Amino acid sequence: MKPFINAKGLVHEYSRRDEEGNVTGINRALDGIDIEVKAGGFIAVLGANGSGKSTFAKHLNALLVPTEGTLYVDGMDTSEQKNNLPIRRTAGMVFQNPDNQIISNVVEEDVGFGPENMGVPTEEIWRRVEESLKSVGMYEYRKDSPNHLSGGQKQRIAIAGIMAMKPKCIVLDEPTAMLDPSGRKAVIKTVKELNKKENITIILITHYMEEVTGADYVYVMSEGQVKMKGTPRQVFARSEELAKYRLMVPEVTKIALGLSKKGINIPKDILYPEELTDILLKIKSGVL
Amino acid sequence: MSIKLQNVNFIYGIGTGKEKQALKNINIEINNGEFIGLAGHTGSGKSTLVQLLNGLERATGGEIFYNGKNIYDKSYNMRNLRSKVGLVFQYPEHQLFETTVINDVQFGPKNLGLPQLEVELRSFNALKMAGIDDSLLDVSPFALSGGQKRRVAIAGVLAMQPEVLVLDEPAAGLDPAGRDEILGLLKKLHDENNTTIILVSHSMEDIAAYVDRLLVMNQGEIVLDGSPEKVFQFEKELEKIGLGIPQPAKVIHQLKEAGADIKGTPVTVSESVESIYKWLKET
Repeated sequence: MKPFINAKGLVHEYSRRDEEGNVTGINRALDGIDIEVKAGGFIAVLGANGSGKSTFAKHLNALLVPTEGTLYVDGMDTSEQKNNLPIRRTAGMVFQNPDNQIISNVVEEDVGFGPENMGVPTEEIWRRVEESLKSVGMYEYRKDSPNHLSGGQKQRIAIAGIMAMKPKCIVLDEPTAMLDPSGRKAVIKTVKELNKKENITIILITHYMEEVTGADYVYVMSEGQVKMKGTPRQVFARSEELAKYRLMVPEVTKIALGLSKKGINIPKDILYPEELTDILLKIKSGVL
Repeated sequence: MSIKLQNVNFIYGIGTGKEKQALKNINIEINNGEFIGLAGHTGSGKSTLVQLLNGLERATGGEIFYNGKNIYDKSYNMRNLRSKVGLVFQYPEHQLFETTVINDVQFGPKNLGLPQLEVELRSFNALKMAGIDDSLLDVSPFALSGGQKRRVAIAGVLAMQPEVLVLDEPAAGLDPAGRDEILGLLKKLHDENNTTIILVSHSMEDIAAYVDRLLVMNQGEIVLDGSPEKVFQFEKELEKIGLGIPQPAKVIHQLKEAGADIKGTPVTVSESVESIYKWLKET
């Protein structure tokens, strides 16, 4: 089967310009990216500030087009202009700041804005609004003003707005950076459920390591290149390499590493507190 | 030196029919040289509280004393208070506006009316403290990376030489290494200059690693006040109000619940490794 998203040697260059608009230099934000995502997959792209991960996100729905190399989304070449609209319908984007993405003063109208612009019949719009608000757990707020919602709730409304356009894929660019812990949890839970229940392909872009533990596959970016890839466990077991790219493993993983360095025989790829507790109790009682 | 809040109340929108009590009966004393964490979910009142501390907002009830003087006295010099209590807002880099890094940092002390030499000295020191290399002084602040911009913005407040520095989510949106750089800077300020630091943060991991005292707010009230070790004992209460405890503290709790005899109440990674190691080696 062909991959749903297929980036081959993807390069993106920004030109730096002076005040008169003359090009003074070139920034290579993406430098030969190869990433494949199969339909229904959940992948995470990790990277420090300035690593190129947001530039990559913008390529996924043709907001930017490749300088070199190719990117296919659901079989469509993003560099062909005629594909722009179909690609944007296929891959929906959720950005960092929920306040910049909400436009109506009633929640249900905001969610209906996308499908309305696509020319979806009114009855179908209402059905989709109801369905998508239910799937992000915000149906009871449908008559409220988004102003009165918390950051996490607003972000879930933004996700519902994308859902209502029925994309096959959702790209989330640091969706939790401005949220508090409960908001972060709710958004990540929503994203995981969309992937599992609705089979929507998810590309989660973040630098919070705790959020990617549920992904099938993780890519680590630095200086516009993919530097590491693997399952979350494979990637997190290489904490020293991650530190080189300004990233850090979750604190439970650090504890396991610390114990391992002291000579305790413990796996280095631990992701969850419960998992660490369990293993420690087994080591203590001598069954491991 | 201290800040003392006595029965402080704050109500938004008095007289509009849509009154909302953001702070209820706050009584706290912040002592000189403390490194305080202020946690609470969105809307718990923490931003309102910090805006009272340097007089940006005025309490609708109660008194605030800075070094024993009531800041609401008619004769009190509010301008002086604002130079002593520095406030760094969320995403402070959005407030950069000058053409060069050094000009931006000089803006604050210049407005204090200091002689030019003093202004320059303070600005150079502040930038050095913030870890901004000399080669960047004449660069446009907009040409810097996100983490650098933020450190320049913080340097602008440091150049005012505040006695108390209040920061609202200073690490938000930065990658893990950038976060450590900012928090390391605060620790240095605290340890070397004895600056009182109040760190507003959602991240209990950051708080655990840096602060001496943790204040937890919920619905306009301070519900927990103590060392991180003590406050993190109240895991259930913290979860109920939308906060968590750091992962290391969580693991220690789970182990203790399962009957493990672990000494102490470690909350950071290195403390936990030590305690767990000792416990594993005991027979």
